[in-house]
Amino acid sequence: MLKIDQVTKSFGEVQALRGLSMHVQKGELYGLLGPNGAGKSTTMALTVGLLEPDSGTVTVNGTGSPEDPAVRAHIGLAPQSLSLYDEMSATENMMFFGQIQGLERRPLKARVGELLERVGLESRASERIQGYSGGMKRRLNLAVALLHSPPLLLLDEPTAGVDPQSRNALFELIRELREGGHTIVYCTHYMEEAQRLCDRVAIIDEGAMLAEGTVDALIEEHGGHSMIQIERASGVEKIETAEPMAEMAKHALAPETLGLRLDRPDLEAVFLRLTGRSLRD
Amino acid sequence: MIRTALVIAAKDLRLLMRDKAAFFFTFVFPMVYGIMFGFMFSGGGGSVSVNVLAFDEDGTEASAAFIEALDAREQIRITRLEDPLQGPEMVRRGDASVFLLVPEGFGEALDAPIIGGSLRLGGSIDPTASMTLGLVQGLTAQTLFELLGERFAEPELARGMVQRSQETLATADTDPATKFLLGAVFSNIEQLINNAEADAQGDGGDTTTEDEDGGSPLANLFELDLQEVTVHGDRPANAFEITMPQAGAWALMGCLFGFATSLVQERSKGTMPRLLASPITPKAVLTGKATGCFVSAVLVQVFLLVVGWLFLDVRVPSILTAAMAVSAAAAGFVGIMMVLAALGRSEAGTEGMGRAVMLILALSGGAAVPMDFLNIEWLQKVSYISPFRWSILATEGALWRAYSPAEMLLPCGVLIAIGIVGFVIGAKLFEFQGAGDR
Repeated sequence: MLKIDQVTKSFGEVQALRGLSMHVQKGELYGLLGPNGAGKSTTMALTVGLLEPDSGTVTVNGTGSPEDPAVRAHIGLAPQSLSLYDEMSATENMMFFGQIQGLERRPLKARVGELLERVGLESRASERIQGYSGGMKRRLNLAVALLHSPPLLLLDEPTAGVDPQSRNALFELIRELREGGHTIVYCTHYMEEAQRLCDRVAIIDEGAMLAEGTVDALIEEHGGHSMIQIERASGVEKIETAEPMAEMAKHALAPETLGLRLDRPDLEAVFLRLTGRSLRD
Repeated sequence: MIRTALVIAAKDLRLLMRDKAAFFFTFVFPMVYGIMFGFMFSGGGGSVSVNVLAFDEDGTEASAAFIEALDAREQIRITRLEDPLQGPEMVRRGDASVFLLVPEGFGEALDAPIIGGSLRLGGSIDPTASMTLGLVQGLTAQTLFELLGERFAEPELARGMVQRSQETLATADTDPATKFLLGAVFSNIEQLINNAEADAQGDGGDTTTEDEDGGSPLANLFELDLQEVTVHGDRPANAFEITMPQAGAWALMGCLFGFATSLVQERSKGTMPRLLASPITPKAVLTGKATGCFVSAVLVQVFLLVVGWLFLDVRVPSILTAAMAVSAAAAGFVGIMMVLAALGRSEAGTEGMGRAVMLILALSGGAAVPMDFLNIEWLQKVSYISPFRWSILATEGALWRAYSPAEMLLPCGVLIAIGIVGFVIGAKLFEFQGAGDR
């Protein structure tokens, strides 16, 4: 569905992408992870045709480059910044963006009603969205991206700044979309979201691919060993082990052991191991 | 692309209507400006003062007193002329609406009313100044009757007037019946004066005299005969014809900022990437913005012209030239909007930079003080680079200057050229910046 092949992109002296390649399969929910400045936004911009690569190619749905407007019709973008008009209602926003997508008014009206219901905004559809909560705006932001039923969805931080209820509703919707056959590229800083939702994950940094695969495979390959914490009267001992169950059994019977805790490696551990612990601003 | 551009234009017009500040500066402020300054230039909106040209051909004490009495009226400002031929020419040029000629024999007629001939005034008038004609007729008649009244109030003067009339009647070549009747009238008037004098001295007596017809013997005493002259369309008929084109220029500036800021906001709020990620071209987005700006600029100018025409006596002699002016001015300001929006990287930056530049251009282009009042040579020269000058000139050309379509080509051509150059530069700047946000 989306093929990025050996793409490079520079902004003056700054090399944003250094021969990045990734291949997102049809119907896949693909997580794109990376610290600030890793090249995620540039990758997204290249995917929707906002940028042209210096070298390499981007192909969407096997039809061509997203610089072609006809190819962009296959893409739905929910940008990180809430790309909506505050002075317009949810319905007006959706009608406008739907018409921009080339949809006819009558079927568009029906589609708008259907999507507003799906994201739980139908009761406040005619209100100007400047009075909406962050979660409501995020749901509307996603609904706008779905107007033209695009086969490829690009979701850039779709849960940023929303409450747990709205986040949960968004997760449900994203799962439904994947089950409906949409291909989704999910760009996020929240590791637990990627771990919970994504079929495959790519971790990029400094414009290059560091690792790509299923969450389990990445953990196995890059997560390191599990950590056991043994609590005794004299203090807490930490042991890294490839055989955590056997190790825990051994210490569980010891009379001086007061408690045991097992920390299995997760995606965050993989991420930190691959990208380092230094701060990125 | 046209459909997309119209969808974007409709959305922007909707947003403009909902943005209270933008709506105020586009629609309300220009209207307030046009009306308020129009009333101020008209004399504070209270009493109307008409400029009347006068030439005293008679040169008598009575004629001089008449002109002086007329000038003393609040509603009339008299400009005395040295040459009677100046009068019609000045009316033709639009320097004044009315020229009054006080002819030879006026003083004699005033001193010997009825028999001395009617009090006839000549002159010229701008035929479009119908309200002014009524005002001048009324005030002139009132002044004349007051002068006559003063003469009748003084018994000696009145008696002298009657005696001069009787003398004139005696030698006049009039039929005997008329002579007899007028003689009887003068005798009665003389008796009336004597009675009034005796009454004033406490003798009592009969002071009532009624004309048998019930009409006044002075009814046909005064005649104002003004010749209509064709006024060249180069002077405004009222202050609103000056202020409404200026209001139009301020409205254009309101539109310009409304849309320039909205284009910058598309980038700062992130809607531009979403638009450009959809299957439309950057050119369509820019065309949509330009269309919205153009439509709102046309609407607000038409609105001002219609209000001016309906309620403020603003003349719109030709729909064609008005359409040319409105369209060209809108096109010119769309071009400026494009450049401003492309240069501004933030709303505050666009507002600050834009207002600084545009206010200078507005002030030097006659949007505040009319160019005809700015008799400073260098300022007149600087004004040629101001789009405000050309938009005001085009609008005035369609109104009181009554330009022909051919004469409209210069201001309209300059504005359209500004529009085209601005659009191209703006579009190139957007392209150079990667559609504004790449």
